[in-house]
Amino acid sequence: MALTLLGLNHRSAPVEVRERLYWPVTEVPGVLQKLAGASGARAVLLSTCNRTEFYLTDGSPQALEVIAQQAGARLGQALDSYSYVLQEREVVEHLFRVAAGMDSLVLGEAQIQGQVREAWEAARAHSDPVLNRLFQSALRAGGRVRAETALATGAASVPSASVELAHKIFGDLSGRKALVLGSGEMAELAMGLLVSEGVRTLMVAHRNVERATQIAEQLGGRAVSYGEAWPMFAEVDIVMCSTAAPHAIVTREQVGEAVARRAGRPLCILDIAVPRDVQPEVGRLDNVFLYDIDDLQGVVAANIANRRREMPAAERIVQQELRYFWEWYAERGAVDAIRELREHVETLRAAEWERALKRLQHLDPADRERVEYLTKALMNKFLHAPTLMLRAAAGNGRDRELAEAVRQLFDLTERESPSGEGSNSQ
Amino acid sequence: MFTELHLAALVCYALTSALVAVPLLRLPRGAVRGALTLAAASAAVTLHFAALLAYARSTGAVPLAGVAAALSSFAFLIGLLGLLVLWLTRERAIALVAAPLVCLLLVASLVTGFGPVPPDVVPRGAWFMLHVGTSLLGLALLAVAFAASALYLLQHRELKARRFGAVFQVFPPLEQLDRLNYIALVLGFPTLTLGVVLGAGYFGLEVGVRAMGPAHLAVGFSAWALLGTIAGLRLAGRLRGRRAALGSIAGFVLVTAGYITLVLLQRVPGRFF
Repeated sequence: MALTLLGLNHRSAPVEVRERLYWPVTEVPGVLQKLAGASGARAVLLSTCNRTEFYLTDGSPQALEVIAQQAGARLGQALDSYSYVLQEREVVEHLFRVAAGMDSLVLGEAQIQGQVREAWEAARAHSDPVLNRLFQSALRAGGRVRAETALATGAASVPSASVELAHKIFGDLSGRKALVLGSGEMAELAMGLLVSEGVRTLMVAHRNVERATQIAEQLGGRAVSYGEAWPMFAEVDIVMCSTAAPHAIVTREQVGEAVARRAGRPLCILDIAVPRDVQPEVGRLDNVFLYDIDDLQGVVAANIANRRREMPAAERIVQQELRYFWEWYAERGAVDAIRELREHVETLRAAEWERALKRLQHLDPADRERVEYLTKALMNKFLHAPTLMLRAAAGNGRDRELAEAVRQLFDLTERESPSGEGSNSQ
Repeated sequence: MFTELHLAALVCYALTSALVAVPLLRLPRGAVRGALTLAAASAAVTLHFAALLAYARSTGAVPLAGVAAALSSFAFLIGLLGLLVLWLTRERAIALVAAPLVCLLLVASLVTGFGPVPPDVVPRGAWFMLHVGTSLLGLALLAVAFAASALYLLQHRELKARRFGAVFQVFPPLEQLDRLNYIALVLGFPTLTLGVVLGAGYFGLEVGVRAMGPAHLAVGFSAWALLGTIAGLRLAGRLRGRRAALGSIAGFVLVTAGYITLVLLQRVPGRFF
């Protein structure tokens, strides 16, 4: 009986393996149902594009075998070379780090917190109190890391870096006007983010009018030709460039006059195209802030470096939350062992009392009651010291080994699992 | 007692500066430090207010007469306005300029010493108090415009140079700083104008125009004219961004430096206004 994790992630398995072992959240209950049916294990399955991990309270070889078979069948080969197995404290620490985004491909990414919550909620029918508490604690650890450190601050992708740069110039982006030149996946993603921040697309200019109309419908605004776009440099706040032109199409001569009419208002030009669409001289115009793809990647790199500097603070929070969880978990283990021991000894006492009672028929009911009380008092005296020892062991982390020793000494191994009882009772 | 309180306020202002400087020194930062900065700034302003109150109680005078008291009141007003900006915008960077400026003024105030104010040198009439108080408030607003402008120019330089380091991350957006500069300047100019008018009233009605020193005449009116031009251009929408920031910095530096220089040239002990 131990917390166990069997999984793989972006470090242990390539994308072609991960994509085959990705279970959409709608399929998770079915997977866990099969696992429970075959092995009786209670589990939570966390499956994202970067990881597939089974969290179990009963990491029995049978349960792990069932998972390996399910995954192997999906993968078409053995899982062993890509997977890892963690146990007990390592599982807790790992999940807390995952929820905090400390184990993500993009350090500190925020999406994982929602995915952990989603995984837990999808598995509620198949989890148990230990897993519930584990995931609650992981979500709290993740929340604290995001709130108390800067691990999740700053853009970590080129499209979000575009938004960050625009924010640094304009602050609030709602009501700002944008002009889009050309098309491209990255530019459309960036514009989508800017529009979600309240930016209004005024015009979309493209070589292909049909394509311009298509983008304009998607982002709002009006499709125009490049010639019509140049005077707009006097009016808009943000220009997003992503044409396929082999040379710069935005030159100082074309837009210099329009920029001069801006009366000191800043203009942010985001040139995501390669080769670049905007002549570097345009960036030297007063109040024009020109950024190309390298600059945007520079923003991302600087943010990632900052996030790395936050790791020690995040680690401290994870270790603190780990300690809180482990205290609860350890004490719970001791409580289970104490209950098992008392139930076992009570069963023995009751059986012996029944046998003795047959030879004590001559005693009157009051005396029989006194003798029975004596048996109970003796039992309590005998169990007092082991109970205290187990409780004390929970406090110093030795409870698991001591509980195991008690189970062996009193032959409690064949009895029903206390965690299973616990899961039913809660 | 008020000297000790001033020292305690000074320590808190210095702590505020240090807390804001932490991210600039590339040390790990977090939301907790944002709250700490606000707490340190609040403590500094509260202690400073207590110090001024203690001064007023022990001397029986409003802390506007005499170099030390006037400098301390000026520093307090800058601290208070800085705290207000910090609290309203949650942008800590303003403290990076405002807090050291307050520290500098407080040190100058403490070095000068809070000696008793000779009543014959500094009259304490209502005109005088209003003149000094309003002028100090106007100057404090200009100090906020100065702080916002200094941050604007630094952030502008980083954005133009495509450097995405600590300044880029910690400083507020350009437009926000420009807006702060605008508000402080547009509020500061009429306040200072009122100070000048009250000053003229004070000299005209209570002291006599002849008693007005050349420092007051030269600096008061040239500062008023300079700031009026800048504020007017801003209001008309003809000055904004980097040029407005440069204008605000030049205006504040010229007004304060010129005023202090001319007053010191008068060599009247214990007199500030």
